Amino acid sequence: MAEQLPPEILARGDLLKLGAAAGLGFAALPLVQPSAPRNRVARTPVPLALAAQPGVLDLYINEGYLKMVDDTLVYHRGFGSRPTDVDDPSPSLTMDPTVITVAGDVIPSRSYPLEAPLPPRGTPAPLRADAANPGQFLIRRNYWASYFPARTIIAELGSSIRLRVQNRLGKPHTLTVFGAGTDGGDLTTGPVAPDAVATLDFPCPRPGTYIFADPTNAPVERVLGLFGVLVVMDPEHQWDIAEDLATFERQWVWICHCVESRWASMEAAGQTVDPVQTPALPRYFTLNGRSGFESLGITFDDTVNLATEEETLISGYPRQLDVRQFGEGTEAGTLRGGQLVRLINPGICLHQMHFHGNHIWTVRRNNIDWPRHEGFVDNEGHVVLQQWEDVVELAQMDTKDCIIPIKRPPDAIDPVWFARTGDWVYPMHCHAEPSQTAAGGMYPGGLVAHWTLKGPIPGATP
Amino acid sequence: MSIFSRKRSERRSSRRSIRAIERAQEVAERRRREEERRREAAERRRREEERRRAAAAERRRRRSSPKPSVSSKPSASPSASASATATAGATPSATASATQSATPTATASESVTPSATADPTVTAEPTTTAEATATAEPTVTAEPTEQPDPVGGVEPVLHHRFQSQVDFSSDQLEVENPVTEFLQTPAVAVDFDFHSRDLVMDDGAEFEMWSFEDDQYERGFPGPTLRVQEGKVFHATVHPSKGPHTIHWHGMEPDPRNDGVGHTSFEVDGQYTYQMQPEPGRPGDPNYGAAGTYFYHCHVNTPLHVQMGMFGPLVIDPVVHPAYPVSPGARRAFVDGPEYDIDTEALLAPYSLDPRWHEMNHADGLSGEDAGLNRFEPEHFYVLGGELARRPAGKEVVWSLSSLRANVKGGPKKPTLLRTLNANYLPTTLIFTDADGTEARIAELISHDGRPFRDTSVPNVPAPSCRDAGYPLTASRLAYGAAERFDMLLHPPTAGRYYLRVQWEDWVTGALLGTRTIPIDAT
Repeated sequence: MAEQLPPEILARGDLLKLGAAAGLGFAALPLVQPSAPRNRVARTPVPLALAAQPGVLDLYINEGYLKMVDDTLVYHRGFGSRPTDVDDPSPSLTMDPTVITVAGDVIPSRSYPLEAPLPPRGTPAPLRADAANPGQFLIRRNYWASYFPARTIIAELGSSIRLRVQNRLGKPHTLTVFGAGTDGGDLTTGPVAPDAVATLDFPCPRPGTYIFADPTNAPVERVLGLFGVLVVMDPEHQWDIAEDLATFERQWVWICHCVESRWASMEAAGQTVDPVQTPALPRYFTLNGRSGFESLGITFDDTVNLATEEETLISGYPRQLDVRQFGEGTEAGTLRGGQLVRLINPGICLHQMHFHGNHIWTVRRNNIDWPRHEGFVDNEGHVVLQQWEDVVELAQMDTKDCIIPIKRPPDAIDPVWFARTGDWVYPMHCHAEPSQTAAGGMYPGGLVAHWTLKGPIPGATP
Repeated sequence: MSIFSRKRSERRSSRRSIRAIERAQEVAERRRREEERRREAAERRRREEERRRAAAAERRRRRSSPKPSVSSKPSASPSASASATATAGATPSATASATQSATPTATASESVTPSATADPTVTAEPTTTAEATATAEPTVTAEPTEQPDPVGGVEPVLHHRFQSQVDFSSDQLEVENPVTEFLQTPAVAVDFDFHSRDLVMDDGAEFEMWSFEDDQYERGFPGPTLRVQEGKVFHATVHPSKGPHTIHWHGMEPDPRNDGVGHTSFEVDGQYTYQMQPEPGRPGDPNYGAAGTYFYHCHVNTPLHVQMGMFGPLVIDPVVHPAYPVSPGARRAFVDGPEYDIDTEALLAPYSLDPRWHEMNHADGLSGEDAGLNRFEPEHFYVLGGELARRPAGKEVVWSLSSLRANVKGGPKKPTLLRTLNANYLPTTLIFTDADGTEARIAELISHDGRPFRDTSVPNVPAPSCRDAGYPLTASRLAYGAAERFDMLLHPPTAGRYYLRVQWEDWVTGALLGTRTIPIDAT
């Protein structure tokens, strides 16, 4: 049954009628919302941008409208990189990826390590053909940089993280980094009043993946978009999850989220959502901020497609590997291992991340290493042991680190495998299937991606 | 249409020309037969649709407690007609705009690569039925028995670009009879037809279900149980109806054409033979082996089609290794895995059902209408399965699990193996208790998603199973979610009654939504 949309949500048809689909019509937005109430939460006049300080990463709590995969505009809040207002045609609701080095520099960068070569279209090229394994390749070890999506801070172990947060909205907000304290506790700015600025300084936690978000009226502010990810890398082990943990060819950050349009429209109208009174009914499902065909990089926007390939769409050349040890390959400078996928769920749905083509090897959950020896079943009923999975459970606010082997799909018959001439593309999607929709349908329009097993390289020799 | 130039044609030998003519005649004849078949199929679908609507109306009239009150059906949805206007360009592209017309219309593509062309003769279905255009290049419409040149024989999936999500959703590549590349002689071959029937579940409620059927399990639910041994080539031919379907072999990892996903290969209109060869296991090697529990399901409009019942269990049995012989009446769970008792081996598949979804049509939501497929509100909770050796055959049988048997630990029989497949969209918990309701650690988890739990702590030496490494993964509860599979041995310490409670939880709040309790009799 069609869901009745609140008036604050602009339907795709409305946009098309206005001829605003191409430019999204942000500037004209107030004109097409005559029913929007006056008590908006934006501040006027709004504060100016903060004066930059060395070693400090500035975040702005902004609001605005984001285009969903069906061209509907939905109200969002977010930690942005620059101050913008609610009617900004290009609101800053996600921070640009930034690297905080052990030397104390704060460097806007989509890639890490900073000096490493960038993989073309996100795909690390191999060293050369593997003479011992026809059709496979030797993989470069400690060589390629990785691209990171928006909302990611990459901090080097040993650095001091200094976040300065300006709240540009009409209600108090908070930034909390979960589990990043020295004792494993949370670090928080505490409530930041409207127009106020708060600073959060803390020593970089141990290598891992941390979610930061606004816990106010949980999970509402997080659902509205106030979240991000802190990835901590050891600068001495830039291609290892952590010292003595799995080595990878490159890494991928996958941030799962969902959008609750009704909550968004209520908050845009100045109300405060009670998540008990108004149970969540997510309407859009995103991976690194994109859904459906945008997340698969098959739009007519080459810029979006390229960014998706670099940040999200895993790709690599087939290789021989052994899950007992992701490390040095058969010769110096080569890797016997796969690529790292950091699965991160700041959203409110429990996702079931299903990979076609290869099982993936899960090595840790919430920065706690799973053992290879003496595993056990915990009190919840989860197996705590490094293991193969083709569906990875990703609970709300959980992170999991997995190695995708990028190997020959094991059940393909030999003649087909050896006759390959091109890439083999396999889906990844959430198997909690309502997440595969957008606006109640349009499968596959939700939390979906794919990974590519690259084809043979003509003339490649061992 | 030939994409070869005249010069190239002229260079062909006369023998090849004759063959080309013969081939063209064959193709033409095949097209005629195909068109006739499609007309018949369209008429059959039209009759089926009329019957289905009548049955649905009748069902709505007579449905009453304990059956659920059915939400009103989605309002008349726009048809999934894609008015494709692909251009003849170097880059294969199919731009399509969804229309609100009642009849699918399409114009043919002049693309140099295989492309979908809507069939103007099919009007009964609200979906766009398409056939592949025949070109001189090896295409998906080539004779199924031929070995195509693999170069260029693969559809340019994901090389298309789309203007919008609704274009993408409503314009998946449909192929009438795709070619199985390098067709082998199979050790196991099955034929699956689509079926749609009103089935009575074990709580007395009746719903329209869609699933796969064969001669043994006609019009039943879930789909037929499949069992294949590692190393053996496996064929499954699907014959869709009521629109295109696919079969994805969840957890099996063949090449993309045999993976059964529309947007990375094709959706099937006529028939297709999926082919794969489960990888044999090697004792002590965590990098090899497919033995375990899987399932297969349709991957077209997946949220709806899987909920409607288009799935079935798949078990991969291990190769028998000389170092790991098998006792009479037993099997191994994986090549060097523990033996289990064949007689009591069972499948348990939690499944929940939202009655509103079972009033929908094949392509609901694909044209951009809000079908509410983000809103899964189950009202019925089922445990499917039973003892694998005793699945009842016959017509319109729902395979429901009402009780389990288990062999007592230390007795003369090998332990019971319980395979669980989460055929559900919700997080689920299994809890084993004794007769008093106290949690009982009688389950030993041995595999997940078709891969054994092994000790991999020492590189370059054999990786034993956890039980052989001295730490069996025993548990009284298992938390798992959609599409996960676990294999577990049951070790009840004494004879008597135990229980297995299945809990369904909300995917956002974690609130308990439903519970079923299955008695286990240990002897």
